[in-house]
Amino acid sequence: MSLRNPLTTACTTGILVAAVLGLFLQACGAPKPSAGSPQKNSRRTMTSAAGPQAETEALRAQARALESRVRKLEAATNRAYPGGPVILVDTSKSKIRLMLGERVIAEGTCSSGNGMELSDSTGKRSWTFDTPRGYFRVLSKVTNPVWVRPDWSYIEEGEPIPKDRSKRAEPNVLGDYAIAFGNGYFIHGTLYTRLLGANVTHGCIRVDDLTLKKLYAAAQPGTPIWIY
Amino acid sequence: MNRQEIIIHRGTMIRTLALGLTAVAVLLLSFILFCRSRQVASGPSLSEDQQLRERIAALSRQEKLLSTELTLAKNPAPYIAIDIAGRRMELRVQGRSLRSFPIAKIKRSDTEAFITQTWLLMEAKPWENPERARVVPGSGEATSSSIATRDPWGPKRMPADFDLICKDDRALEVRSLPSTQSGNRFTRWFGSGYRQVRDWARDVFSRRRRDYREFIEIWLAEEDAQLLFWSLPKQIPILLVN
Repeated sequence: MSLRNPLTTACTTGILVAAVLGLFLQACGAPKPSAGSPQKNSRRTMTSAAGPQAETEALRAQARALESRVRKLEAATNRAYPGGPVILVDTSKSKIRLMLGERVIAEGTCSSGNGMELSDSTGKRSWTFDTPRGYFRVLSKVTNPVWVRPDWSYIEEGEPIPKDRSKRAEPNVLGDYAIAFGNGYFIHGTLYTRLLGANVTHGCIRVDDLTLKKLYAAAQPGTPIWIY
Repeated sequence: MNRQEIIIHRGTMIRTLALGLTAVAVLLLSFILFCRSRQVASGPSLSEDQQLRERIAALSRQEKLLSTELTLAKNPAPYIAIDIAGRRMELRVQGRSLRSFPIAKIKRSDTEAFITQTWLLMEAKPWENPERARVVPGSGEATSSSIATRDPWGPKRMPADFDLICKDDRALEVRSLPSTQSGNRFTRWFGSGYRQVRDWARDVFSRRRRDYREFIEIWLAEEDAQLLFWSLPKQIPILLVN
C-alpha cells in the first residue's frame, strides 16, 4: 500500500488512532477482579460488600428458586383435580356433564329439586324439596331400580302411609338405572321426559335415558359428583 | 489520463474506501466494548434490580396463594376464592373454576395487610328469604309439577342481598347492583345509587356490623349475587386473596 496518497495516509492514521482509543477506553472501563465476585461467591447476601452485581445475582437466584416453587405448586394443584371421571351438575342451567379431566364425555339436560315445602297434617314434620349443593360421591349403582316411596310421597298424594316396607316398593318409575349419592338422593331416569330442564323433582336429579346410560357406565363407587 | 493511470487511480480509491470502512468499524467496536465494560463495572442497571424485586414480590404472593389454595384443593369440597385486587370471585373445586363473578366494588373493615386468609361460612343470612311454594297435602305430584313449571324454582328467585356469616365473627356481605342487562344507563345509575343508600341506611339503623370482628362488603351484579346464593353449599371455605 502506498502512503504517498494523502487520503490513504489520513485513513491509516485514523485507524491507528481509533485502535489506540479503543484499547485505552477498554483499559479504563474494565472491571477490576475482586475477591467477592459473584462467580466465586454467589451465595452472598444482598448486603454483601461484593457490590451491586452480587446483589443482582442474589435477586436472580431468589427469583429462580421462587419460580421453581410456584411451578411445583401449580403442578400439585393441577394434580389435586381427579384424573378419572367426574360428574358435574349445574342446577342453574339444568345441565349434567360427565367429565374426564377437561374433556366432556357426556352432557345432558337434567331436572333438580322444585324448592317447594310440604308439611304433614300435624305440622310436626316438614320437607323442603331442594337438591343439595356441594361435593358428593357415587355410593352405589343400581340396574332396574325400585323406588321405595318415602312418607312425603304418601302425604303429597293424600294416601295412608303403609307400615309394611314391602308395600312401598314401586318399580319402573326411576328409569333403567339409578346412581345413589347419599341421604336418599339419586341420579335416575324419568317417565316424564318432557319435564326435563325444569326444576320439578323432590331433590333427586332426573336425566334422560341416553345420558343416564353413559353416566352409569362411567361412574364407579367413589366417583366425585359436584352439584352447584 | 491513460489507461494505466486510470487503473491505478481506481485501485487507490478502492483501498481508501476499504480503509475508511475499517476505521469506522474499529471505532464502533471500541465504543461497544467501552459501553459493555462500563456496564459490567457498574453492575446491571437499577431498573433490572427493581424489576427483579417486583417479580420476586409477585412470585411470593403467588406462592403464598397457591400453597393456601393447595391446602383447600386437596379436599374435594368446593370453596370460594375472592381475589380482592383482581376483583373476581370464583366457586372452585380442586383448583378448577365452576363459576366466576366479577366484583363491582369492595369495602373492607380492616386495613390489615395480608396475602391470603381463609374464612369458613357457617350460615347464609338473606335480607329476605326466598318465597317457597307450599305443597297442599293430597294435591298430588302432578299438581306440584304443574306449579313448579309455572313458577320455576331457580336462581332468579334467590335473594340478591345477603350476609355470609363466617366463623370467628367474620362476615362477607354480598350486595347487588342492578343487572347490566336491565334498563338503560340512567335507570341503572339511579338503581345503583338507591341500593347503596339503602344499604347505608340499613347499616346505620341495624348496626349489625358491631357484631362482626371483620367484614368485607362485596357488590355484584344482581344476577351474579342470586346465582352465588343459589350455588352455595351449607358450609364452604372462603379463600381471600389480597
